[in-house]
Amino acid sequence: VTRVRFDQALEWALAFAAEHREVLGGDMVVVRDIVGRIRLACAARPKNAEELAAKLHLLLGAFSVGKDGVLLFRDEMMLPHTVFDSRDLAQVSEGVRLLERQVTGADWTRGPLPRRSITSARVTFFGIKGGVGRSTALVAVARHLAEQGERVLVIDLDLESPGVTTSLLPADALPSFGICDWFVEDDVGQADVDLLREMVGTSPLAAGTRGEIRVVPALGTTGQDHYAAKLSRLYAAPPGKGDTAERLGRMVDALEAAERPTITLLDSRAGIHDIAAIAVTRLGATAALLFAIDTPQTWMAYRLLFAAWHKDAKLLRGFRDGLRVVAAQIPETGRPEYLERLLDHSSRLFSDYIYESDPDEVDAPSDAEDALSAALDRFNFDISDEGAPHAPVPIYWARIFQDWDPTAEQQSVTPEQVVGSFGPFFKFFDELLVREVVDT
Amino acid sequence: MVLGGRAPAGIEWWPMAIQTDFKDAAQRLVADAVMLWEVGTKETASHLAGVSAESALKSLLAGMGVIVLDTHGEPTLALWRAHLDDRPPKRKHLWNELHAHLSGPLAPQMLSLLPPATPEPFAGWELRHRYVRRGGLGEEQMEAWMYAAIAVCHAHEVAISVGIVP
Repeated sequence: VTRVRFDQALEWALAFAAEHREVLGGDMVVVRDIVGRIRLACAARPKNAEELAAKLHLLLGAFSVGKDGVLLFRDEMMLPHTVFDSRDLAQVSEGVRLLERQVTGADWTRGPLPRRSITSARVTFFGIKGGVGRSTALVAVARHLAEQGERVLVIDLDLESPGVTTSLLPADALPSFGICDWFVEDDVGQADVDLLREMVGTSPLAAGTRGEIRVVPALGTTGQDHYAAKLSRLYAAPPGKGDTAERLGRMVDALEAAERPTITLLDSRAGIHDIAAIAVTRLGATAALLFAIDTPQTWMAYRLLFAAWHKDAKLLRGFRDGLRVVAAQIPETGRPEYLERLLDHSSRLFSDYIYESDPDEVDAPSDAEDALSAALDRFNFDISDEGAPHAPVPIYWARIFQDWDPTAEQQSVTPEQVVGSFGPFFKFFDELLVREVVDT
Repeated sequence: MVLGGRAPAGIEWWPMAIQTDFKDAAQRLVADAVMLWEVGTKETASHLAGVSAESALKSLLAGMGVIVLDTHGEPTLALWRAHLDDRPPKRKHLWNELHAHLSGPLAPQMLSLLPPATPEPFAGWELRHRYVRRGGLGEEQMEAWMYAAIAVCHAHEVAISVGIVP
């Protein structure tokens, strides 16, 4: 017995849809439900509907819902809008769209939410793997920006494993509430300005600078014993409140409106996680920093994520401009060779999934001017382009940062050592803020 | 003259209007169905089973934001005011559509509680069966409708408890 596997079923369903496009009315949606079973929703019922349903049912094997339900016809549906007008549709080929019903992770394939506050730059810190110095880099750059006179708002979105907060706020500076409190209070309509005010603490790290670092922790001083109970309710979607992404977007907008920062730094959870999806693709980040160390595991994991984005060009257009690789923890020896390897891997990753390739000769515009214009419009970069999303912003690893407590009175790290490791990273932020001012 | 239900077009205040409550109807009707089944009034029980499942389904769909209810608690679109056996081609896909729609963190729980979409859980059930003579419906068939209605209403109760249905 040949078993049809999960991936094959979708491949064959899409091919079937493309093959029978005309007879099935041209507008088709392949729906894969939460357990992977596939239905094909079509615009019109053809005369040979039963024959086609039987054929598709056979093709899909165990991933069919049965020959009576595998084909759905728009005019015969009670809820056609849930399929044909879904926000999660991805165009696969002409007349064929894909609708993936997912239990988690749907935000990786949804576009940015509209931002209500546009007064500040918003930067997401994300690593596909943990332990690459993401939070340390955030702390260092927050201090640097405060030294430049910036008002920095740091939001700790690593809710399952809060980290950056402890580096920025000593216990006595922790506010009463945190992000998880906002969610449980919002469930019952109590996430008001009073709560927001009690969610932000001032970091002593900015003491003596011209700027300020304000921090929103994952959890505050209140109800720490009940943190798990709050966290477990984070993904609830009470009627009328929107999904987790919309609610988080609302919270960040409200915090920015209240705090008026010049820049907001979002410390995201690592890995292909729901909160990371929201922070990278949905919160309208000016830049989403993709922390990477040059290991096969890192690139494999990024490939899995990029492959999901690759399916939907329209989705990608919403946030691809802000993506930027960060070469984290560059070892102390063999740095040029290491960076060269990392650049090569990063460039290949973006070329395979994000950058737009040259059109085939048959599709290429014949007119030279059109061809030039099309080439300029294409989202593509030379491997040596230092401003390209794949071009790694380097952070140099140094042993001294291993036990670094940036809030300690007696500092074990000198300002020169900080600049030695994070100098190019700081420069990236300085340039980003200049660009933001110009754009604004 | 329309008695009860929706006001005639153009009239905002309609004293005859009744307030529809699918959530309450589902809870009440399934309890009545089970009670009647237990005392042996199976035809009426299976009729109420279908109506309770329909109510639970509409309440669930409204809670999920899939259908919209007006101020009288009635679906805003005529398309959504169907009974389980209305316009046979539409009924045919309904459960399938519901299964295909489920997504998000609560979806696995809902899917595990709802009856399977195929074979269609209320196949053969008709509103006009309320006039059927005693013994006029197959025992096995009525039992299947009862099981399906209890499953849908249980899923509805869980949806209430987790906040999908307010």
